[in-house]
Amino acid sequence: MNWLKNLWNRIRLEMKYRKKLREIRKRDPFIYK
Amino acid sequence: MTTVLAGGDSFVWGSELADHKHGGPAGYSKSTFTALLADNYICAAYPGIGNKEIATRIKDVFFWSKPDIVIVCWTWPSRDLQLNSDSYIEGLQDYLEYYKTPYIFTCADNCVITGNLDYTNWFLFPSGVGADQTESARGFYQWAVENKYRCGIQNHPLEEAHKDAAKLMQEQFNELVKKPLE
Repeated sequence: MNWLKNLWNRIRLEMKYRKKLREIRKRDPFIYK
Repeated sequence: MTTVLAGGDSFVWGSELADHKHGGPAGYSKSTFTALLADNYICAAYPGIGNKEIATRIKDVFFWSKPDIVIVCWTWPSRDLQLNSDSYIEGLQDYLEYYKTPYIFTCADNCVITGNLDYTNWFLFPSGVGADQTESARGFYQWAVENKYRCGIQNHPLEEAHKDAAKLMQEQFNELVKKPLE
């Protein structure tokens, strides 16, 4: 069961990371122009 | 004659300013806040680049230009797909200190400030009236937008903002140029 817990933690961390990155990207109004 | 080497993205390149010629070599504007402080101006900035490339371009140009002072306006760390740009900023800081060259760092947006670095040589802009109600120091773009400076079609602050930004930076600039790092 440990592997499942590890996998879940890694997914959660990755989701947190992507969310933060998305937030910073939203503050940059120029990059998509 | 003070030679300034400036790095950054479109704000330092001068996108949408009247004297901005084109996106090719030497097409940059000389009305940006970094250029207004200089007698002799070298621009290593380019629109849309990330902090990694800003640091690399400064180091490349620094090698042959021997500037009296380096001014860098850091951009959003998400352009390098990172949450912060501390490693690039610290790397350039160490480089410039090794070569005993004074520098001023500033930023477009204060999201680049993590609190983990030495910020003594940074210039940050004051918060605007009724902005997001926080009093934390601002980056150039935030400061210009909050103070309602005129912006171009693509949202780049225009000449007035650059003039006033240069005035705000002048004091720190004069101090550093007179007193090089020991």
